[in-house]
Amino acid sequence: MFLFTRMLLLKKQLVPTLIWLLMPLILTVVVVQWGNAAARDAQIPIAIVDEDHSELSRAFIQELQQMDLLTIQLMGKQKALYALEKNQLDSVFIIKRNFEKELRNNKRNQLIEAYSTNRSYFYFAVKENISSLAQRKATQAKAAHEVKNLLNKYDSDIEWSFDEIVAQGQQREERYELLTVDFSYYNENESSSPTEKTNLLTSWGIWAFFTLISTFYLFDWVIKESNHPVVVRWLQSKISYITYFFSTLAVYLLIMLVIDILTYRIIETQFIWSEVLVMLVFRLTCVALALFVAVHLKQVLSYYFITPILALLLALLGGVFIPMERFFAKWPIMSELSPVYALLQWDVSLVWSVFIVLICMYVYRKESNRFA
Amino acid sequence: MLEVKNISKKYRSHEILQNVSMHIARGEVVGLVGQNGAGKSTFLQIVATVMSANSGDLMLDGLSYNCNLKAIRRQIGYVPQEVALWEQLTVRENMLFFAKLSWTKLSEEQCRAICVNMQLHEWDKQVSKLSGGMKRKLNIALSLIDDPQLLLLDEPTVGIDLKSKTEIAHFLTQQAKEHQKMILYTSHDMKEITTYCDRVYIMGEDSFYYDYLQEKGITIGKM
Ligand SMILES: Nc1ncnc2c1ncn2[C@@H]1O[C@H](COP(=O)(O)OP(=O)(O)OP(=O)(O)O)[C@@H](O)[C@H]1O
Ligand SMILES: [Mg+2]
Repeated sequence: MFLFTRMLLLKKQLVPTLIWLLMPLILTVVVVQWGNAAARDAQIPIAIVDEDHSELSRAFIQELQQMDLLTIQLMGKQKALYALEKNQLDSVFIIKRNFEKELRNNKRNQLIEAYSTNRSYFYFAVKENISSLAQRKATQAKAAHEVKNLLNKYDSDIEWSFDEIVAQGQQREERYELLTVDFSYYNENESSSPTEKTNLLTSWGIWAFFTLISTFYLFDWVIKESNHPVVVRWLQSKISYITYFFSTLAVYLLIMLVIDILTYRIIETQFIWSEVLVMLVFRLTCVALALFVAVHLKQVLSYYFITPILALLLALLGGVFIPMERFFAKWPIMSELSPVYALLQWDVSLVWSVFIVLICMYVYRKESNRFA
Repeated sequence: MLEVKNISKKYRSHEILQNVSMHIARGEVVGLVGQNGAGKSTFLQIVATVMSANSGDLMLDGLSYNCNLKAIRRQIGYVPQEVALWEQLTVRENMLFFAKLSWTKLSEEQCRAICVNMQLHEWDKQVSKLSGGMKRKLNIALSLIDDPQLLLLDEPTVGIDLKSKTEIAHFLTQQAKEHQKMILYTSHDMKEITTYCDRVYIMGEDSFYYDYLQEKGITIGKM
């Protein structure tokens, strides 16, 4: 009987509702596809200074040049740092003298120097990439040489090429902190762990942004219905308005959660329950935020005006559009400002979980006090 | 029987109702008149439990409003001054919507019969496309779904043509007489008031209404 009445209201706007429900999923897929295509020509300018001029350093640079996201310029240190200062480059990486020799000797410290400025927006992402590539090279170099030495020692007739050995060696990759020196061009004492993850424009960042927008939009009924003159009619009905309100909320939540699980299946290859849980908590947070804004407004227009701004702000603070790692490294507490950040780390934010519970209680009190 | 004793209501510091008392017996049709802003709608809303009074007591059939709210609400049909309808739904859908949520399960035919009694013959028309008077008729029809014992109507007949108005009034007074219902309604149509009401209350100290009603020989209740 509740569902019947709800459907009467919903069926008048069934198509827009469905579109808004599926919007985050569709747009995420579209943007990610488009982004992948665009990434081929989108370029982050960085400079590599090769001080070693060895076979290994050249091979290393060559492999870097094959990375989609980077445009790599080779230049001298002076020139590179000058260009960095002028913000013509995002960051500068210097392959130090003895790069090859040290690697062969299995020394892995301070082989590459990294320089960035406070406007190096992609520094963490680039550094992560370069660092992992160097890691791989180091392991490969070591393994290949060891095998080659062994083969030579026993005068084997098997002729293995270097590449074949490398291919074998890749299975035994380990992780070393190869790139440990961080230089910040402007701010000397600013530092951050080199393993920091960057989530710039990932599919989940985009999804989070569109989910905020669509959840806000879908909950405009809270304003439209709670301030409708027709609400007085619930006084005489068997179901109180507050029951009706929360039943509607439950139906919306259920549909949203189903769509979210579907979204997860489509975007991710593996199905990890803890991540799905994080995702659902994020959706609950969106709903709580929408409710919180909606119960304080009487006009739908102001709601339509405020909520997109709020969504943009939360996405920004969550690090969807620009990296916030440096900022959060300085003020860790700020990472709690947006629920998006926790989602991108696949974390459940305690602060926002408490917020969800408080909002539910608050909305319940506010709505049930409607009729004294 | 509805009993209202010494009700007061303030909006912030602005006192609207001061120690208002009244009663309605079963089978009675009672009118409430007064100037614009006298507090008629406010009073009706308090009786309909849309809002609560700052002080005073209300009793319906011996049940106090303080502790039997749900049971009392079930007995009441309230027609708000402002039409309260789903504009985007049809007449039929509006009726079915609230019939589904109500205590007594009415069939579609029963719902339609209520509309016909209110002289509303459009059934599948969207409310936003109805005329003002038709909306008013539906506004009354919706409040009759649960067969209320106490009917509170706030200017129900504004904009309704004379023929329909007469028929609606006939139907409602007949309900009161035959089924011992209580009806309280406000109107600015004094002819209607003097024709159908057993008693009339005047809101606010107003000699104009007093003299007018006394001249017509209407029983005036003291508030
Ligand atoms: N929500 C409100 N907040 C503050 N004051 C209000 C509110 N609603 C009504 N009032 C005031 O209460 C007084 C009584 O209003 P009410 O609507 O009860 O009058 P009324 O007798 O029904 O008038 P009308 O004949 O025009 O319908 C008015 O002075 C009005 O300004
Ligand atoms: Mg009024």
